[in-house]
Amino acid sequence: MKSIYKILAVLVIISTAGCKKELHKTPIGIITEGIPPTHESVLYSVTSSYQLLSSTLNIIGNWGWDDGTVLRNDFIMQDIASGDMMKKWNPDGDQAWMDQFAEFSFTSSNSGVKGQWSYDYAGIARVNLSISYLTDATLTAGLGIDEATRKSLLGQVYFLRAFYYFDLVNLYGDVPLLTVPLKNFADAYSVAKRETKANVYVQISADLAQANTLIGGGKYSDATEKWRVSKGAVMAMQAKVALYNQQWADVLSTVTAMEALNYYSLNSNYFDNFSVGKEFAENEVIFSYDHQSLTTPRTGNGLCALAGWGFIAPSADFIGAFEPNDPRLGYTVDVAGQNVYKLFGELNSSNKGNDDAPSNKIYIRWADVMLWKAEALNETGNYPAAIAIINSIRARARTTVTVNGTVPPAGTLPDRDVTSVNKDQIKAWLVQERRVELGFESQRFNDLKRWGIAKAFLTGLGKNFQDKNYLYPIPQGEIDKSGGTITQNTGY
Amino acid sequence: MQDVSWVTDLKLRGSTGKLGNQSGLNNYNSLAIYNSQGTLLRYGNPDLKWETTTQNNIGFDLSMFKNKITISADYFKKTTSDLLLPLGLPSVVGDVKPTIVNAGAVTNKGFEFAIGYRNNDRKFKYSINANLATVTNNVDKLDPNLPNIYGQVSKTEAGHPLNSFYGFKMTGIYQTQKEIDDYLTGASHPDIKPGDIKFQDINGDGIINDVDRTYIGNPNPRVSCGANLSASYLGFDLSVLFQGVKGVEKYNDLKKIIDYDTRPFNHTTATLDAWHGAGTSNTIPRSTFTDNGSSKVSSIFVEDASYFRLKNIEIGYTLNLEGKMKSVFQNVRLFVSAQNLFTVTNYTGLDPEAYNMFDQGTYPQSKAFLFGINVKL
Repeated sequence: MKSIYKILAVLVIISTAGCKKELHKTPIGIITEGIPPTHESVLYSVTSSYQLLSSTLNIIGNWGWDDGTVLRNDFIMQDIASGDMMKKWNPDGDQAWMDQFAEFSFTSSNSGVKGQWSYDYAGIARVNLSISYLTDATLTAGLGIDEATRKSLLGQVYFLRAFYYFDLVNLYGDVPLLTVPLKNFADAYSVAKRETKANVYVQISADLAQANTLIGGGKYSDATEKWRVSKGAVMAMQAKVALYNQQWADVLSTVTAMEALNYYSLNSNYFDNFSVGKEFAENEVIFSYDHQSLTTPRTGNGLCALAGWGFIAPSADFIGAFEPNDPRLGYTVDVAGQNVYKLFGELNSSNKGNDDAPSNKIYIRWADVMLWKAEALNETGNYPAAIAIINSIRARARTTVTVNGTVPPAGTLPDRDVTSVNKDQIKAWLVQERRVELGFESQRFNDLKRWGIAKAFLTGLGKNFQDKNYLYPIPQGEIDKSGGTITQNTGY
Repeated sequence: MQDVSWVTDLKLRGSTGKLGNQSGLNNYNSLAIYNSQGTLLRYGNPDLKWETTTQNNIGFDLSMFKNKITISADYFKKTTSDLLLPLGLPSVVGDVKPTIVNAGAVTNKGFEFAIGYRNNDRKFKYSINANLATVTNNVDKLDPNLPNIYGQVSKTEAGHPLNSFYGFKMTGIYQTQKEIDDYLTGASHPDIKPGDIKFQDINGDGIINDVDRTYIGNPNPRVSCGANLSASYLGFDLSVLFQGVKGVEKYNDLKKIIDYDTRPFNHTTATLDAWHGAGTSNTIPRSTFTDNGSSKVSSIFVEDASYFRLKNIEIGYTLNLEGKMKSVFQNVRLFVSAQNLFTVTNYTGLDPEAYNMFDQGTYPQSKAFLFGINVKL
């Protein structure tokens, strides 16, 4: 009998000493929802929102060539598509999906079409998370983030969201508009539908207006971290949005306001825009992604790695577009040595093949902005002022010593006739000037499209550009995964 | 029945049962997770629960002639509801890994049949066991939010087998420019050349685009079988194992990488008969480093991966020990065995038995020969 009592006693102890708590263990070793953000994670939510603008390799995915995610695809979607850039110096079958942009034979399953979409929306997802933190002033105050910093950071991510959506509407037209982080996966199906381009632009303008209010003055918004979005960058983006919507008066007023800031001017030497040694110590660059070598996690420029594999070459038509002795050609491409100096950031090939190069990716610079102004002036009938700007760009180019250190001969890049009142003539000068000044800076295809000359120009180069190609196809995977609520663009 | 002397044992069986299964789940699958810097890696699914399998079974076991012959047969129907599947979300929600969801219900049903014969009465002892199973897989329903779930080369949709291959259906090779022009009337097509793969234009609009995709294969094995032989005579013993699968398709992506990739890789000799002029081939597209249609997910890469394989064979000899040897060793056996000695298959990938239905050239199982001595002290 005694042993029975012992057994009963043990059973009583076991059954009363239950393990309720053990059923709800806090996850170990991973960070899950419900864990409040920290000072560090809030700050990093902003930094990581910038990352999708970089040319760093594998920001998303891991060597996902088939997904187009190895690096940001601007050089393909813009420069190869515009006919300025060739995939490789020696054509081959490597990454044939890139050739499809040169031939306009891409379909909705093309890697580049997928990759750019993924990059922009990954950026937007990070921005939305960041905004959800930074709009919670109680949260940030509790984490020791002061109000001035909070406002500046919030302004930066509003700018980034506008930037990503601006890219999306110009590439794809109507796109899904997500402005808050999802609570869980099932929410994906309610947001996976296309919003009209006009409505996305409303969001872009609203975000930029917010950014303009929130980001403090000064050429740089942060004296030590000069790569952060500045007020000037926000204004430039506002001007660019106005330009793309042909709101010429807004372009003029915004650029005039930027001029009044006195932050920006044309560098005396064209290459100072791109030189690694001059980064954040020159007058012209307004917004760029700050690539750095040897950081953890990596923030280097991976486009230079592709150059090492023979990618990124000029087309004959692009080289032919430069006027005789234009120094900008040599700074852009070195045909003999197969170099693309303005992307390398050095006047040698030391960064060619470097998958962690320090050369920044330039998104907006003053010469670009001045040419927007010239375009708006021309469209509004102020011809002399428009020509004066074009001539200032040409003057800077011809007074830049060539890549070999020689002075361009007299008569190089002569001034355009300032007395011209022929709007079409001036527009043609402008089109020409933008192409050579901003070559390989991923502006050209958007320019061709918004000017409405893409079809005429590209079919003239023997390319199969169709009307449908004014927009890229929506990635087929997105249509499939949304169950068809995301629809395809006409013609694809 | 008592006077039916040849029946040793006869049993009719029927069973039904319900089983929870969470093998598709890992820890914290219901929660959203972030990396150490706070970037979202995966969305959570707070409603996540295990999947439930209801299995109904009916069959019989029969032994005859003093257990010399045994037969067992079953019909089963297995319905899994709240099926656990990883769900890839559209990229608009960010760069995230798939969320595990309870996606719907799927049914597997089929027959299982086994027969054995053994003879232990004489010096020459032997037995044979063979089995055969059929399975039909069908997705009964999916969550209304996700009427279809896409994988890299597959689609899951109610009314079709799980993870069916989904893509373009090859109907041949374009032989002439005229054939192309007559077929693709809906749009200009300068990138398509004679020798390229011709795909079925399912909606007949003269354009090959994504609406022309269809189901092109089923990766779920329909029939599997195996046979086991063993025999012994005096000191010799022999065992043989065959196994086979009939009615299964694999997506041979290795073929795409090696034979049809646009990168300048060496091709296999399979492309020696490639199209090189009108009438030369209607199965192998022209050899090129540009896209000849092979970049599309299509039936050219879907292959019948049925196989029959001699999985294992072993011959041994046990020594007849005498005298002093017998006092030292209990048992000494010499044997030689071989694995994967031969395989009958039409599959052109490395190994029809490869685990992945999307076969990118998983390292194949090797043919192995073993010689050994077993000594028992």
